[in-house]
Amino acid sequence: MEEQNKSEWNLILPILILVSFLFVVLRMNPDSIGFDIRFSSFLIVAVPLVVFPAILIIGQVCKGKDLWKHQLKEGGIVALAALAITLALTIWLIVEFFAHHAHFGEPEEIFTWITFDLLVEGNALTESALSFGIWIDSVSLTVLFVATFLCFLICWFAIGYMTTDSINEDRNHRFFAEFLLFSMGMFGMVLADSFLWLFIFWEIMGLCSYLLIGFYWEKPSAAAAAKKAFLTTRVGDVFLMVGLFMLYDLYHSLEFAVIFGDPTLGGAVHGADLQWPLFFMFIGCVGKSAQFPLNEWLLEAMTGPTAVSALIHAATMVKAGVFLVARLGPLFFALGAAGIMADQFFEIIAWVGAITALLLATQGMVNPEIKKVLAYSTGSQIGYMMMALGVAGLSSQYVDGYTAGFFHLISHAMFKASLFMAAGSLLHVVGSRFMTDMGGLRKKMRKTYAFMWAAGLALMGAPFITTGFWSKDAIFAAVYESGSEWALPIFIIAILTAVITAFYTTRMMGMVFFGKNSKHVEKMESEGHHIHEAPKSMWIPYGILALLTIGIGIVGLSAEEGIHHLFGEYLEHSFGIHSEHYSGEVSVLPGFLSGLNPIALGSSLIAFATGFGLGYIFYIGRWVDPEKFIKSNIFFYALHKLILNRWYLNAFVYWGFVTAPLWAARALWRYFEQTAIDKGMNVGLERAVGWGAKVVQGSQTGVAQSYLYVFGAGILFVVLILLI
Amino acid sequence: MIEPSWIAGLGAFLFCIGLVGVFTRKNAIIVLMCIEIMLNAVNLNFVAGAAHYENIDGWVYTSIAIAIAAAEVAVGLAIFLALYSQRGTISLDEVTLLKH
Repeated sequence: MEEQNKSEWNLILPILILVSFLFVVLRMNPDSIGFDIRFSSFLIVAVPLVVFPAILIIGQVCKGKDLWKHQLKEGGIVALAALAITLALTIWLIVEFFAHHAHFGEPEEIFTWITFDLLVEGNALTESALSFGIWIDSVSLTVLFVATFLCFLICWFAIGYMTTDSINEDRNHRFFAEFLLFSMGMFGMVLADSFLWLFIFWEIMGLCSYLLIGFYWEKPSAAAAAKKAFLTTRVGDVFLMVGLFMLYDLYHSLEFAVIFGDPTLGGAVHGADLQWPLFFMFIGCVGKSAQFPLNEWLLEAMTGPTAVSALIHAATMVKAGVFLVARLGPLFFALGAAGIMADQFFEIIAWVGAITALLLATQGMVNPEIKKVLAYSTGSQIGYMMMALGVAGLSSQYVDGYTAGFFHLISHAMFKASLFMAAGSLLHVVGSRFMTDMGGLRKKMRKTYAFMWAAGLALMGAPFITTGFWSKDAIFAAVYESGSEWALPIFIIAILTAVITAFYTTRMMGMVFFGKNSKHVEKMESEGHHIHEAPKSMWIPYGILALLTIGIGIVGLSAEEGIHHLFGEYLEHSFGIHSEHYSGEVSVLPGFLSGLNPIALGSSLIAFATGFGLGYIFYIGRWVDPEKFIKSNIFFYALHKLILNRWYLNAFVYWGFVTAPLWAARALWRYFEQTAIDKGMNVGLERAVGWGAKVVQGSQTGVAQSYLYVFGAGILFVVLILLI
Repeated sequence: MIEPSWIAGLGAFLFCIGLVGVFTRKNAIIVLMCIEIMLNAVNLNFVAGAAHYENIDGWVYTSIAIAIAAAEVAVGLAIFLALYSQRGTISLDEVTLLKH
C-alpha cells in the first residue's frame, strides 16, 4: 500500500514542478512586462489566500474519500501546487527585478480598502485612504524568495511526514490549509506596502502559529504550548501596535511610500521623535523572533508537528521579526545618523541579539530532545542576525552589518529547514524525540546522515564550504569592525556562541548517529520494526537544501559580495546611506580571501575547531563520558543544572506571570472580596438600606387625607415660588 | 344687576368651605359632599362669567362639569357601599389600604 502511494507521488511531483516552471517561462514573454509585475506579485498573496479555504471545505466534505486521501494526500498536493505557483512567480519577479531595475521601488496600489477624512492641524479635513499595495525592493525580494522556496520544500516534506502518520488521518486538510494561510501571512507581510498591512499579515501568522502548534490539540502540552506562544508573541504585538499608532501620529500615514519617501516630512520629524515608536516596534520584533526576554515560547512550540517547526523556524514567523528590524533600521539610521538616540537604539538591538545568542546556545548544549536543541539553535542564530543588524547602526559602514544579517538569514533558513526536516524523519523512523533513544543510526539512514552533516556543518560554520561559515564570518567582521565601544564584548560573545554552537551540533550528530544503538532502537528491532531510511518524499526536500547549503557555501564569498552590492544599492537609493566600497587595502590574507577581516576569520576558525573538537571528544569519539564528566566537579554539576533548567528563566517567567498573579488573586479574594465585598458591602449595605427604609415607611400612614395635606403644602409652595 | 365681584366672592367662600371640609372631615360621604360644594363654587363662577361677558362658553363648561360630577358621585357612592360592606366602616381614618 505504501509502495503504491509512493509511486503515484513520484509521478505527480515532477508534473507539478514542470507545470509551474512552464508558467514562469510563459510569463516571461517580453510583451507582458509592465502590467504583470503588479498582478503577479498580488497573485503570490492571492493564490494561497484563495486555495486555503478551498482545501478546508473540500477536505471537510471529502474526508476519507479515496481520491482525496490517496491521490491528493488530503489536500497536500493542492497546497503544494499553490506554493509551487508562488515560488515560480517569485523567481519570475526576481528575474524581472534584475532585468528591469527601473520598474521597481514604487508602490503598486492594488485596491483601496477604506477612505475617510482625516482631521489635521488647523481643523482642516483631508481625504485619506487605507489601501493595499505591493512594495518590492531588494529586502522584500530576498525574504520573499527564502519564504516561498522553503514553504514549498517544507510542504513537500510535510506531505510525506503528515500523511503517513495514522494519528493525523482525516484531519490533514486542516494542517495543509493552516500551513497555506501561514505561508500567505509571510508572503503578504513581506510584500505589504504599508505598516498597517504588514501588521495585519503579522497577526495572521500569529494566529496560524497558534493553530499549528496546537495541531495535536488533544494533548494538553500542545494546547498549553499553543497558548503560550500566542500570548507571548501578543505581548510583543501590543507594543508593536502602540509603536504603529505613534508612527501614524507622526506621519499621518503608515505607508512606506510616505515614510521612506521623506523620513523627515519636510523637516517636521526628527530622529528623536522616532525613538519611542521604533523602540516599541522593536519589542514587537523581539516577541515574534523569540529574542530575550520573550524567548520562552519558542521551545514549547516544538510540540507541534515537525513540519510546522521547520516552517516557523526557517521560513516564516521568527524571520518576520528580523525582517521588520531590517525594514526599520535604515530609516532610523538615515534620520539619526551620528545622533546619540540612534546609537542607543542600535545598542539595544545588538545587545538583545548577543544575549539571546549566548543564552539559548548554552541551553542547546544539554537538552536531550533533538527538536529542542534545534529550537534553541534557531533562537541563538536569530540572535546573531539581530546582533548584526544592531552593530550595523553603530558603525559607519551600515551596509556591512546589514548584509551580514541578511546573509545569515538566508543561510540559516536553508540549513535550519534542512535540519528540522531531517530531525522530523528521524522522529518518524525512531518514534521518539529523545536523542538518547537514537544512537548508531548512521549505517541505517545513510542519506539522512549525510544531509544532516552537510546542514549541521553549515550551522557550525565549517570553514570555506558552507554558507554558515561565510555568513557567520560576515557577522563577526561586522561586529569587530563596527568601531563601537561595545564591539569587543559583543564580539567575544559572538565567538563564544560559535564555539557552543559547534559543540552542540556535534553533540547532536554524535548522539543520534554514532555510538551503539540505544535500548529503544534495539527493542524496536527485536519487535520486528526494521529501521530504514525515510521515504523519498521526505528526504528529497532536505537533501536539496543540504546540497544547496554546500553549493552556495563553495561560492560563498561571491554570494556575499553580490548581496552586499544589492543592499548597498538599496540603502543608497532608498535612504541615501552611502557606503564606501572596498578600498584597495593590502590584506594579509592570500588570494581569494582578501577582503576578509583576518581577526574575524581566525576567531571563526578557532571557534569551529574548539567546539567541534570538544564535541568529538565527548560524543563522537566517546573518549570521555559526558555524564561522568559533569559529576566530576561541583562547578560543572551546578552549571549543568542551571543550564538544564533554562537558566531558571522559564521558572522565573512562570512565577512572575502565572504563580504570582494566581497568588495575588487568591489573596485578593480572601482579604478583599470575602471581607470588604461579602461582609462590608453585601451585609452592611443591606442593613443600611433596611434601616433607611423603615424610617421612610413611618411617613406612609395610608390615610388619604394626610397625603392630601402634603399635596396641598406642595401646591402652596409652588404658588409661593411663583409669586416671589 | 349684581356685581360680578360679589358672585366671585361667594364662589371663593363656598370653595373654602369645601376645601376645609375635605381636609378635616372623616366621614367619606361628607368629604364627597365637600368636593361637590367645591365643584359648584367653580360652576357658579363660570355661570356668572358667562352672563357677564355674554359668552356661551361658561355654560358649556358648567354643563360638562355637572355631568362629570354626577358620574363621580355615582362611582364614589358605589365605592363607599362596597367599602362599608367589606369593612363595616367608611371612616377615612380607618381605611388605610394605601399603606399596605
